Amino acid sequence: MKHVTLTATLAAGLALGGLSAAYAQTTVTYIVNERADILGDPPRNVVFAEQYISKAMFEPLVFDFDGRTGESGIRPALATHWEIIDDNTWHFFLREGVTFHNGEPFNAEAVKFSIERHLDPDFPSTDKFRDVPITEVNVIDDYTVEFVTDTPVPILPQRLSRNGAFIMAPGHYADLPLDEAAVSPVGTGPYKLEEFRRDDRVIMTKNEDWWGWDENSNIDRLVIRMIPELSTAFSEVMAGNADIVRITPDLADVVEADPNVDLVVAPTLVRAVTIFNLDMYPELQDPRVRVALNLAIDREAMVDAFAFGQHELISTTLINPPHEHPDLEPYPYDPDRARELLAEAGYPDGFRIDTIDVMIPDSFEYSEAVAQFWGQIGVEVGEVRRLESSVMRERWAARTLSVASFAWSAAENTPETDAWAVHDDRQTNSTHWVREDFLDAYREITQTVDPERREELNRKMQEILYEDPPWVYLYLVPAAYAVSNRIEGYNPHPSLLVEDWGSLYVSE
Amino acid sequence: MRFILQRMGQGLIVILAALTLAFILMFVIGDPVTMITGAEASRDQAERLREQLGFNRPLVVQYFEFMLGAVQGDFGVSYRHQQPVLPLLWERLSRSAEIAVPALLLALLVSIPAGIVSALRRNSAIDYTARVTALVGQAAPNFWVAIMMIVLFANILGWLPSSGRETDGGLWKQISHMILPIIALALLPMAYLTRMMRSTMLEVINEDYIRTARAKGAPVPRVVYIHALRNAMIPYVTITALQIGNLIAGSMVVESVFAWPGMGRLLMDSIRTLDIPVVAAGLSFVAALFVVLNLIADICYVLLDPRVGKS
Repeated sequence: MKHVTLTATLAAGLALGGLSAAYAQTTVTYIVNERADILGDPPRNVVFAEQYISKAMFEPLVFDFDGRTGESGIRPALATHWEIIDDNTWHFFLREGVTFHNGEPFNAEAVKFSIERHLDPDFPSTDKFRDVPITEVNVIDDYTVEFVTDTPVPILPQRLSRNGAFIMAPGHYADLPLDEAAVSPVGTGPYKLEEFRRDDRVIMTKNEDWWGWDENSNIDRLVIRMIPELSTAFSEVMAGNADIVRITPDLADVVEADPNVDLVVAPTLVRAVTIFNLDMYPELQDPRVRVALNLAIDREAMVDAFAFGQHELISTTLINPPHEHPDLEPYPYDPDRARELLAEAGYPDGFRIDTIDVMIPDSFEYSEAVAQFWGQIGVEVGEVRRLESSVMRERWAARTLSVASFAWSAAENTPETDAWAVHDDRQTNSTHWVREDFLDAYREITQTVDPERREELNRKMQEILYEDPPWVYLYLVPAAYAVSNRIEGYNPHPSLLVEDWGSLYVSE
Repeated sequence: MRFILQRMGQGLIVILAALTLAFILMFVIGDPVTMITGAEASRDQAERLREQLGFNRPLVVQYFEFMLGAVQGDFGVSYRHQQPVLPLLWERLSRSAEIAVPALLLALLVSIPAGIVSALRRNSAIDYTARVTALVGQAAPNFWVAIMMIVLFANILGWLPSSGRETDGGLWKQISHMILPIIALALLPMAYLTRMMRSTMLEVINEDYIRTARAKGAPVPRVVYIHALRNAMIPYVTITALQIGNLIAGSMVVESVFAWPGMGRLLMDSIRTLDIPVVAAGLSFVAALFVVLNLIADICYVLLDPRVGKS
């Protein structure tokens, strides 16, 4: 039988229905394309949508982005400043006067509780934060907390900025069963949960007591809707029923033609790449062949076609700005030199690559371009083949992808997390590229706190990645958004994993 | 009675086969570990998780454990949700029913009269209209129809909301969110059933007993609704039961397009994310539903045509 719930209050109905102009104006609706299930337990977040939602209600000690200016880089959040005591010891000084949504005070005990809860070996999480070798979290006083690590963790602040280290209310979570914790968020963030409608939307109201509001802030309610189909989501924004959705580049013209909706194009840390498989194609074991395949590509033409012509996004290696090697230039488009290199390597007539496997539609387009460029130097690609995501995952796990294209993104913007992409220990890495000097440099940089030595190692890794490229580096993929023109202060987070929700406001 | 028991036995075998198929498909196709750990995890991490979830045990052991749990209604815990699977399905089932049941009713309410009129006024303008509409309805893929309906009714005309399920606001507001999904879901069965009704009706009205009924002077409505319709309903009922399968398949697409939080969308998502327990439970549920509906259709068949049960 038809079953319609009629229990909601009139006030909520008016606000959500947009019947009251005053309410409607201060509700901002953001659309994600995935289903979020875990919104009350950030360390157990799996999909992007869950991370987005967690960041609205929880906070880390430090954050890596400012939504007001769009600038990346570590900055204070629940910690106001920090000190490196020695290689293995850090002190974080906490913001005073902050309370959780349930009224509990935020203090060093809360930090200790949240971190230790996540690092408990029995806690069911596969978050990367669990790899951080933290051995002790000590309460020095109410607002000073000490982290002791087993080995040096030079990027501890970056690690603490991610969902795995969001601070949760100890009194609320201490004895809460996991299934309840999943849907019962109590953090310190700018918004608190009003209602969760599974598979449909999360409705959050403003946390008036949040420390970060400024004079512009005027949003009373943040709604995150889950709409799997892009055309539906897009039509909601175009019809004025929602405010922000990430779109594909082909919709950009439609957005620009509409006076009520703005096109926002933002840089991201997502890298378009084509990876090699050295095991599957013996020809690729010669570095000269892989350099040739990099030189064969006209990156500027590709960026014009697929990335809104933003040439500054062209990649040199796979280490993201601002850590890029200052003396290296992106590979030029040089098909003649590419042919020479192929001949030197013993393949004057080129060779054949059976397939380029792709998973997302965007990489299909650029992979066809890659295949064409390779064809011009005699390397014939049999087929650009779109793999169903479960098949792609299976081959990832078995490390048996052919030459493949996808958008690769490292969650933390540091040299070592970027370089991890081609590390042989990564389970989904089907490149089979192993360079001992690279692995040594990698090992050392993960243990080195000294910034000068870190920079040397960072450059060394990039030099190796440049002369012996395991991938074809293409460009950083810009993200495009359709944004209602009443929204101000929207700078998308470049990781595409979270947003700085506190910076949004609505123009009068 | 023996007939019904026999059918139930067959149904049970079908369900067991579906369970086995669900198990095989999911284990052959994908590796859920990568899904859970993400692309960045190390090989050690992945191996540890594989052990934790028991994927490193022999397949036969995993199979029997799965089947033993499944027949008791225990499909385990969803990898994504970290909670038992059945409550997850039940929760969404009622929401799917909110659009699937009206869609089926709509299909019946339209197809029966349309099919009858079309058959009785054969080759008239009404007949042609009904036939062409049914043909188009059957040929157009439902995801395309759904998106076109959003463009027309939500974007251009602005009459109806384009997606989501509303639980707040007035009754009209809640219903307005259901209209487009219901129509999108109803179209295919509606088209199919209209054509079915028309052709069986055409067959029946040319039968001798109808001619006899007419000849003896029975009023036309009585001939149509008592003599003809009852006989035309026999194949129609079976086809209706089968159309519920179409409805379930259609709901996967329609619920995704309209962001309707039902079971179709849950299954679609779970297949994509390799949430094996949910997919297995979902497939088994769909198979069971199908078996039960077919059983009901068979019983109706007996009631409509007493010859079936006796033979």
